[in-house]
Amino acid sequence: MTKSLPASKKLMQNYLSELLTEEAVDPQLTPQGETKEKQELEKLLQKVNVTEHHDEKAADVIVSRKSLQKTTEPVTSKQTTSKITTKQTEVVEPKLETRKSQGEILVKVEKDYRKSSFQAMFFDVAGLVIAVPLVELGGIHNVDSTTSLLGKPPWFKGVMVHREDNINVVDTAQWVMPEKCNDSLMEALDYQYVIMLSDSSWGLMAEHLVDTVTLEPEDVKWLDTPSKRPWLAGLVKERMCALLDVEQLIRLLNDGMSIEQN
Amino acid sequence: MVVWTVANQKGGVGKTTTTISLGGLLAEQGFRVLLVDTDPHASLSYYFGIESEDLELSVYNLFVEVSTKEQILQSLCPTQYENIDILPATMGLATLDRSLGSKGGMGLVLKKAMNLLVDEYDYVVMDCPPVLGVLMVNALAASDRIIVPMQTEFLALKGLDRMMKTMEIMQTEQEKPFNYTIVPTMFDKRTKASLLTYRKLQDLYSDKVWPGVVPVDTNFRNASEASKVPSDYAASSRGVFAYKRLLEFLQETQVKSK
Repeated sequence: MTKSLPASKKLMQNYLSELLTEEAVDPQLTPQGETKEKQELEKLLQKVNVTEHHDEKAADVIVSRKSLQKTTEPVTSKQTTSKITTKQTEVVEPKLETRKSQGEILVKVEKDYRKSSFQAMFFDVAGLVIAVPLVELGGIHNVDSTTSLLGKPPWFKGVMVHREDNINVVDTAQWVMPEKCNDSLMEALDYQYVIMLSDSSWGLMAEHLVDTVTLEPEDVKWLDTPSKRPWLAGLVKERMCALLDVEQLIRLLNDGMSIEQN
Repeated sequence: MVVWTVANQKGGVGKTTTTISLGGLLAEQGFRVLLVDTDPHASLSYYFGIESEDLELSVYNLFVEVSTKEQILQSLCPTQYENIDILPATMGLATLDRSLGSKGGMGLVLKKAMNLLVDEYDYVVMDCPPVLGVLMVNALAASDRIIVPMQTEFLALKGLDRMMKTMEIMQTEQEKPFNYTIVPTMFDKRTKASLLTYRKLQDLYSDKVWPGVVPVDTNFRNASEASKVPSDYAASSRGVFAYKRLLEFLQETQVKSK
């Protein structure tokens, strides 16, 4: 009965050892430590931004070299000649439209959590039940007062301050089912929670937290092909409800897109 | 203060019932009892009519901010029993494993919190989630004794085996060996499966098994519907009788071990 796999045992030992080793925790537990940690993180992020710029420039150079190489090749097709020659001059500029359009292509990458059973939390909004995988759930906060921002779409409820963090609060009903959001529905809504999306600053408003359930991959009808609804990872078969693709949803929200625009 | 943790990596084995039954009986003995709910399902909290999602403070806050003794005391909820308080759970606890991962030292949060309450309570009984994660590790690390309820059915033996392995590995990180007791629960003497599992349990874990059983008893379910501890709801029921024997055993052996 006590026989165990050495690999998993070692993994467990490392996990438990981390959790039960006290030295590393105190700086993070203190508010000062937290600030220090944030400062360090910001420093790192600055470095990352710098690196990204370099990378972009490097990429530009690579792209321009490629295009230059192309130009040295014998050009036979009539349609490419004009374009390539014009690009040869434009390519040295930092603005590269080709890169931007590459980023827009929606490629659904299969999530790691789909490989085995995973936990999902269900919440509801105006009777609509929505599931979010726990691995992509950033936290749950009680709804607090929000500050509305001018010029934002109706689904953008406002900014809620929570422990010095600004949370962009999304009126979930307005985002998910704008066509049903008449006055009576909006009045009846009783938002109580803000469900944080992964590590982003976006939070979805929820009326009730239903429960957390362990799902098997086969419990979900996965929507793998790029669709009009990239924010939908799949449908939980038994409950016939949406399972969010949090990553894609964050992307849409960052782009200021509503459900009707994506 | 004595801290007992009720844990098993298998669900539905009677953890919450054991926590509440022991808590109720300890309170009847006149002890000041704190029940700690570390299960995101918050069954223990709901048992006493606490709508934990409406609360501003819960166990969750211990993990996300530095808590003083006063803050912890503010998180506690009274029950209808004068000397039973609850540190409630919220569903937000389910996110801790993701947000904390294996962050160093986060397994000792509850232990530190309980150390701050040492003068406030005589007994702390913690209810664990049926998942090995930061919450269960915390509850195990904080405890003087682990009570492992085990449903007397064959599949439950596997869950128990996992629990034993967890404690075995965790023990290498602890200053002292775990003091644990396996409690056979939901014993139905009419079924062969219960009898066979009970025998198997004794063969495998012998001296770690409490020499008694908690029988199947509908009074537990009825007590939960009435939001009463079983010893208050049906004092003379066979289930309560079994938990009384268990408590005696735990207290006797606790004294011996100290």
